[in-house]
Amino acid sequence: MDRDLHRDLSWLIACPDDFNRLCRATLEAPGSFGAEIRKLAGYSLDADRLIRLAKTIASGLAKRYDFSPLAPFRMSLVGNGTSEFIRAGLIATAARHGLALDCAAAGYGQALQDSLQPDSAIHRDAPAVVLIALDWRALPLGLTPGDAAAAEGSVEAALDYLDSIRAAVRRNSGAICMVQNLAAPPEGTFGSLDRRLPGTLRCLIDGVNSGLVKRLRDSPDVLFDVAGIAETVGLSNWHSPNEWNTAKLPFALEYLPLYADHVCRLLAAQRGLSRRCLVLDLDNTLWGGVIGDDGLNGIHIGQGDGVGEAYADFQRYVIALRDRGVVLAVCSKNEEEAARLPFREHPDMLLRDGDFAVFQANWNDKATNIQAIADTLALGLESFVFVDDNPFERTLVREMLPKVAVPEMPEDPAWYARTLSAAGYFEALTFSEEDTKRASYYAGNAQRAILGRQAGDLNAYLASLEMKITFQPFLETARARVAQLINKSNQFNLTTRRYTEAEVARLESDPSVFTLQVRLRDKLGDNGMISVVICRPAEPSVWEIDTWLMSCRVLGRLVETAVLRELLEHARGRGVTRLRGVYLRTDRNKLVQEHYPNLGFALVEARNDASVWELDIASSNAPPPPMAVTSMGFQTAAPGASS
Amino acid sequence: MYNVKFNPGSDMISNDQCQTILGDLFQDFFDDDTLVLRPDMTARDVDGWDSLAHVRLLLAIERKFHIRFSAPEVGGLQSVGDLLTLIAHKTEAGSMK
Repeated sequence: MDRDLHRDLSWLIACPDDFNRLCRATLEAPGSFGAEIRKLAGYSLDADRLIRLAKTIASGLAKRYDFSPLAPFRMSLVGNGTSEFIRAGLIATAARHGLALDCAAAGYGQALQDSLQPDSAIHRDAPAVVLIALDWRALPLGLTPGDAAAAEGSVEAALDYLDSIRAAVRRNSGAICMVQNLAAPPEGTFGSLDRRLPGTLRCLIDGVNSGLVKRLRDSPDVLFDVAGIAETVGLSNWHSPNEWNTAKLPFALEYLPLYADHVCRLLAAQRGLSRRCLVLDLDNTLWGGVIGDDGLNGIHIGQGDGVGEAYADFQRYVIALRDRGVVLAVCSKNEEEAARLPFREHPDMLLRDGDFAVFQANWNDKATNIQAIADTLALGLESFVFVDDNPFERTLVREMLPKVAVPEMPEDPAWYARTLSAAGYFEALTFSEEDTKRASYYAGNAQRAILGRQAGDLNAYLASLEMKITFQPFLETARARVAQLINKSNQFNLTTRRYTEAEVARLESDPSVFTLQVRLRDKLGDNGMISVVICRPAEPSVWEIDTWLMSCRVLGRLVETAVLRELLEHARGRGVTRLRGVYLRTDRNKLVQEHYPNLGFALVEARNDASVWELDIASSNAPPPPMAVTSMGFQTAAPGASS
Repeated sequence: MYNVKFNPGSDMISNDQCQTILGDLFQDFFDDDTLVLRPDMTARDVDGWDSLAHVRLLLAIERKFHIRFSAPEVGGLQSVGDLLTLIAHKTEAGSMK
């Protein structure tokens, strides 16, 4: 699905197809109305859906439903052109930012009149903010190409006009004005000269926009940079001649969601609701590859290759966020030493581990870790943004910690910085030295947070993923991938035995050896092959597990238990009564030190660098993990196996 | 609700299919499962079909059928029947008209 960043707000999760039904359903549950509205607003909504949601909100208002936990916010809108769709867009989008928005609009073409009149619709309900959304057509900009004096007069007149509205609002309701600057129409009459010849529309608009920045200095009023938004999406996309001509829409309807989100970010910032802390995953988020498996020389960062450059670009953006006061934290599934290694020793890393206030690298679930980070920094979860390339982790944190913002990330890291920027979680109204110091106040020692209670119901989450696990023996078609896993896996690898493709081929056809390749799919996607097991006959009725490895990407999902159950089925079918597992310690696989005891094996022998464990098959009962199991292609089907 | 799948821009569609797809769209747009299109239907007959809704509806139709309306074409529409005729004309032979 091709989702455009600025049209679809693709950092938000896609809206379910039955949105209309979900809207209707909120009206049937008055007790949770506010919470449900906020949840619906959290999806990516196009203009039509925003308008549908605004209607639902209006219905709830009419029925006097309780909107908590949404906080009430009153604003007014002064615009030229059609305002109703903007009003609806704002009301619906405000719920995404935790606000129950009330928005009055000035009459059509009544911008100045309604501002001047003390009891007009825009002042009546004591708004906190008045959005002055006038576009270039509303301002007295006379075109005088080549006449610099007249052009200057034009620009001043336009700015004076805006000032008089601002003054009237201040006098009549004391509200803060959010003043929109001008998006220039793409039609020019010269070409490059339009930009530099005084009195062309382009030059006049540039003059108004820079003049507006000056006029707002030393004022509590806020600049709303519509020019910036329009430039980002393209002036030719922003301005739609048809939509203005037929319906007086000042910008293309398809950009209503973006426009509304930007306004609401500023409203939320007004209330101190902007986020303050960015929690980052490491593998494939800050560098390409997995440090625990690929090692310092195997990860991609900088080094002049496309992937490495993309991650360097993202690191640069993260550093820029830190420099303006955003607090950074790490949350990674890794051995801590492995996780810190690139920061300490890789020459192309831009971030250093000292840039982070908290550094969580362990094998526990990320929701519990993020809660621990929040507790350590004494910040509420609503201050947090969590960025991770893995949809499993993103969905888990969204479910367990709904207050944390978790953007959908694109597949290509080249777009990470742009996506995080577009999401606009850290909108601010002012900036001071205090802000630059804040990140260092929190950081400096990259501390480790102590984990508390587990956050949320992990089992329920796992069950909701609709996982499907598939077991097959080694096959020629899978040989390359099996060999790859065998040779690449270092962390979740009990014995780290390496086999060439030729040796794997021999294992395929060796009837005395039991082989297993494991694939995992869930509703978020297909993980492909994620585990390999090889069992060899030892004494009669004993299987020794020669190889058991797994991709770290699927840790914490009870895959190990599912694999054990599959092994037990096949072992029983072949008259095996005991499984023997061996752990050969390396400097990379500390992770699986307790793998066998965790699965119920008993210790048989322990040495410095190895341990041997055994499981009596008859007495073992591994509980069924929450996934659908498919077992196929085995020579003798295990009794009770499903295919 | 019907669920007709077609490839806009490359499939030729019959008037019947056109009416079905448009009927689907109207039901979703006006959030009314009971809405049934008639050729003589006008904006007055449908709750919520005001001028803003009219613009949004036409944009939604453009997106759905991968067509573009021109201002004169839109200006000439008096009824749902006119709309159906216009859509059918523009989706003929899959060309962008």
